[in-house]
Formats: sequence, structure tokens, C-alpha cells
Amino acid sequence: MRPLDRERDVATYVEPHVQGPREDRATPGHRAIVLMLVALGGLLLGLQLWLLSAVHDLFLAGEGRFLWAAFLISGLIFLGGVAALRVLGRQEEREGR
Amino acid sequence: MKGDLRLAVQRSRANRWGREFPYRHGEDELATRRTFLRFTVYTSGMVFASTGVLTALNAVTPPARGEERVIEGASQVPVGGALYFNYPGPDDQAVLLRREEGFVAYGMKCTHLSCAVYHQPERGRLYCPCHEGVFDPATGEPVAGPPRRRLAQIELRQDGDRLIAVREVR
Repeated sequence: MRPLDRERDVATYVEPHVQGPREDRATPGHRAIVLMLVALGGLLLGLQLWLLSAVHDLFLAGEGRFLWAAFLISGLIFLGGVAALRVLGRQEEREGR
Repeated sequence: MKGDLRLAVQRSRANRWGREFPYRHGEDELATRRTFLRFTVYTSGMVFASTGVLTALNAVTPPARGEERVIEGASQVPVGGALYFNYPGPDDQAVLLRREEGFVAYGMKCTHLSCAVYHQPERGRLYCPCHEGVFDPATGEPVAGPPRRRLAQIELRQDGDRLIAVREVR
């Protein structure tokens, strides 16, 4: 990386965390928690995809006993994601970002 | 001295790479965690909708189909033999097997990719030649190959000498 690029990168991505407003200065612990929650969201999406494949298999087999349960679980995961988005949106509005 | 020369060669190569494939770090667009979360939630919504469609289809699709119909020629099938007939629709193929315990009948559509399943009496099995799927003739359950679900079963009823197909159950 050329020195000029490095300076530009530092100014763009590093300095706001060091000198910026208080809410932008994420501590390492806070960052880990956020990353863990993002990873959890990815895992839940994986679970939803697995549920969809299971529902497809049960539908083709003509066994409808567990379809509604799978549908409800999938819906809860989706609603959880929507709720998380809304909470984060409100937080953003409150902080005026 | 030798090390300096090697370093100079490495730098020259690196500069050439940088010239041929310029990369502007400052102009790069990063996907934020918020963007990732939004994309994940949209995908989750689509998966949820697909699950809902399958659940609704299952609710409106009757588990059994077909109406009572006499299977012609069933009494002439020897023990261990098979008779191919059409049920429940005129284009739906089915196979009737006469076993020592009695008659059994299945839809001939393989549960893997819907190829036709044939009876192989010499090997005592129902066989799908497309991907070498094998079903147990006694129960219709898959015993080898890619199929994971049993064949559609046709319920039978004996009425005197006549054998009647009642309905097909998935």
C-alpha cells in the first residue's frame, strides 16, 4: 500500500473512531457483541432455510403435521429480524445520526 | 547487497502490479453491518413467504385422490406377478402386485424425480432405472438409491371376485 493510500484510509476509517463523537467510539467488547449478534442473525437465517427444505420434503411426502410449527418458527425468526431493524432505526433517530 | 537487490526487485514487481491493477482504497464502498442486517431480514422474509406458500398448498391439497374403480384382470395375476394399470387418472400409471399375503398397489411415480418405477420379480423389488432407486414391494418404502420417501400407496378393497382401487394416498 502506498503511503498516500494509507494516510487516506487512516483518515477515513480509523480517525472517526479515535477522535469522533462518543457514540462512534466502539470499544472492542462492544464490537465483539455486535459481531456476535450479526453472526447469530446469519445462523437463524440458515435455520430458516433448513426449515424451508424440511417443509418442502414434508409437503411432497404428504405429511402435514409439522408444517404449521415450521411456518410459525420461520415467522418468529422473520419478526425478530424486523424488530431488530426497527430498534436500531429508532436508536439511530434518537442519536440524530 | 544481495538482499537489497532482491528487495528492489520485489518493490519493482509490486509497483508494476499496482500500475496494472490500480485500487483506490479511499473510493471503496464498504457494506455496513446495518446493510447486511437489512439484506438478511429481506431474505428471511422471502424464506418465510415460501414456507407459508408450501404450508397453504398443503392445507388445500387433499391428502388422497381418486375414486373407486374396478381393476380389470386382477384375478388372473399369479402370486409374485404384477399388473400395470392406470389410477387415479387415465394418465397416472400404477402397479398391482400379488404377494402371498395378498394384493398391494402403488403409484409408479418414483419419489425422487418422478421416473416410472418397474416391478422386477426375479429380484423381488420395485426398481427405478433413472437413478437406480429401489423400493420394497411389501411396503413401498425406499431401500436403496436416492429416493427418501415411500411410493404413493393405492388402497384396495376386495368385493367378491372383483378387486377395487379405493383411493391413492401420498
